[in-house]
Amino acid sequence: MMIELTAFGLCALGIVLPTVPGLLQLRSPRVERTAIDRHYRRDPRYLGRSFRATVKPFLDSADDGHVPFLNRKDEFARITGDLTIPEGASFREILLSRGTVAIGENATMLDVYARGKLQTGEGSKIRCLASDGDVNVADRTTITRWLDVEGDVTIGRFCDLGASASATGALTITSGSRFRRMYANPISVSPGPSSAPTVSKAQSTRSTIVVKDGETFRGDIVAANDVIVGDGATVAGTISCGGNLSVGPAAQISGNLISRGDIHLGPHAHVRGHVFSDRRIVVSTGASVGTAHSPKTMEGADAVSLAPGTTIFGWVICERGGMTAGVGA
Amino acid sequence: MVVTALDIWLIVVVTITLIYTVRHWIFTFSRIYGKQRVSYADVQEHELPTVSVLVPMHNEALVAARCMEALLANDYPASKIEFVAIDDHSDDGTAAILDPYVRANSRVRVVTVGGHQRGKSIALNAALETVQSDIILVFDADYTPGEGLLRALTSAFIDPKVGAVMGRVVPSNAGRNLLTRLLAMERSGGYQVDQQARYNLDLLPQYGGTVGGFRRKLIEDIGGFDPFALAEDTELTAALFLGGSKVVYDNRAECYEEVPETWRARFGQLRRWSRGHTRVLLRHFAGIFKARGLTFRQRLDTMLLLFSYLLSPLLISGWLAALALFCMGRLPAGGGIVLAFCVVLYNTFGNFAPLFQVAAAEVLDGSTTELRLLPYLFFVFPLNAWAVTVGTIDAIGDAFKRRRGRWEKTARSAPSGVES
Repeated sequence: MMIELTAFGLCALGIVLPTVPGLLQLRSPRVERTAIDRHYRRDPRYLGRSFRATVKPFLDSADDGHVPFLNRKDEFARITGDLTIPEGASFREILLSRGTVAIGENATMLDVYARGKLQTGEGSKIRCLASDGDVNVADRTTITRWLDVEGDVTIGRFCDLGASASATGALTITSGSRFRRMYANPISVSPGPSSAPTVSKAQSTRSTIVVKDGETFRGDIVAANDVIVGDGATVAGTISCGGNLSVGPAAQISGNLISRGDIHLGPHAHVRGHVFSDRRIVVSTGASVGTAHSPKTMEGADAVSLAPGTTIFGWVICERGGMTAGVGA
Repeated sequence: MVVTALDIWLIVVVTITLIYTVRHWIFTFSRIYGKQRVSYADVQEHELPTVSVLVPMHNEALVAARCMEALLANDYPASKIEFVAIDDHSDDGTAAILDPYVRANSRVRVVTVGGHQRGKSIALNAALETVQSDIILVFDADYTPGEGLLRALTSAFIDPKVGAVMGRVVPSNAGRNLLTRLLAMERSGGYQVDQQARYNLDLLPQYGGTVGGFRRKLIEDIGGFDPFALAEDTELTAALFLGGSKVVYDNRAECYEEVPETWRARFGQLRRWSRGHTRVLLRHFAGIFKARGLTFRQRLDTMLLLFSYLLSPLLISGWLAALALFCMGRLPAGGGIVLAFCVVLYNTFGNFAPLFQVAAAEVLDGSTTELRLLPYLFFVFPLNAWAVTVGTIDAIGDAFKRRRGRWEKTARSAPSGVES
């Protein structure tokens, strides 16, 4: 009898005990809810815009000098006019400049905002960078969070652009740089020698849909497997496929490219619409996506590789890290 | 003979439950550790399709204005969108609430449902006869979409394979009482993990009938909604998928909704879902095998999805079989373990939103202290099982008697205001 009672008691305890933390939670006035920002609108330049909105009243009202930033205990801002940061300097303040900023080589900075032009030194490391003028990012610069520019921006070789790089004007990027999100109209990869992977001509199988060289196809192509668009061919529609998608040199696509596999854009191919891949996107020299009047999105889940001389109007996204191909990249 | 039959039945129940358990494990692991599939959430599009937003309303005086205000604050180009409020035999002043919106905004119309029959499918069909847009988005009246939501949902249609899109539903009244808090957890498990995993694995995410949309041409091709469907969303999902179209789930297209605040309302909601879902199963079961272009995995999961509401009556029958064997003194060797196995399986894994799936979702959502309420879902399962079983019996009765189900609207509560 004792054994049965003990067993029953243990079972009862096993059921009741897990509910005790819940009782405490029910008594707590704090209910965790999944919060939705109902005012959210998709904006590739959200980070830069919200940062400017935060610092603008601060910059307008405060005098030059060293001041606490937004009443945070451990963060201070330095408000200045034109400023030159010496080589190798390490700043633990947020830098807000009413003029231009020149950052020396190998300097380490937190957030930097300039109302004028901004130049980074080679090998510098900056957390966030915003400018209302043109920006020149020198070789081997690392942006750990984001970069947003109201004018044009030029990115040197072997830079890391952090989570997001965006510009109102043109964004010109050189070989060997890494990115996750880039937005500009246009994004251009500087021409130059390339070590971009050579894309051999795609081989068709029985299940592959092929648009032959020079052929024109009107309408959407929806395929379960691979699709090959031949050299100089034209597709007046969207291509959506379950396999790999290869677009030959100088081919023209007026719609979108959507693939569960890899997408290869051949040299000087042009896609007017969006480009989406669940795997890799490789863009060859001279290829382009979108137009100045109709910017588009290119998104590769695993990798995006942009060869020298490519032009993308709009947004390039690769959360696992995209790359501009080039010498030593 | 009876004992053998009961033994076999028990083994069948445990086996089926195990299959669902494995399925939910796969979903949870896919969501936590797997590669998350690219959605179309980041499409920057200036050449947007024309859209009609349909809002079926039957006695929605409590929530109609809030829903219309939210819809009209969207960022979709005004020249490409219209809002169609569907007055489905309301007698609580809903029409009067809508009137100022129609007069103030040329993009807002009201379609009044005629005849004696009412229900969501009938209301949607009435509105579909009046629209010409490429894309149809549907919201229930208790939903308050954010400013960018319509654009986000529409972006998936850049892919011609996509027939329907579904966003994520988040309760706005989660903090009202224990039931709403538990339902918020269930919703989290259902969307954050289950729907996203099905999308990741190229299976069948479900178009949920609200916070989603579809191509007008596709619904026209299948002759509109079955006017007597009680789960028109599942009906459309099955028809589109078996017809070769894809359903896209966008976890970032989030929208607030109201969940039932009373146990009675929840029971009625589940009963209706179960009745409608089982009706879809009976109608589309053969289609799973006939459909072209589906992989074995897709066929299997579609079958498991359509059978999911039958799991509750199956489990109840398993409990009864175990109880009968126990009372007959013929529980097989280790029978106590078998019984415990059944109970544990059901309470831990077997339901439509199993505990570990909910737990994973809460962690992903950052609601880790709310996780303390997880054991309380244990006590909700019997109610769920009973409501679903009653709904299933209703559906089988409908099929045998050629009876038409009646649409029972889920009772609304006053807006909680937490979503602002």
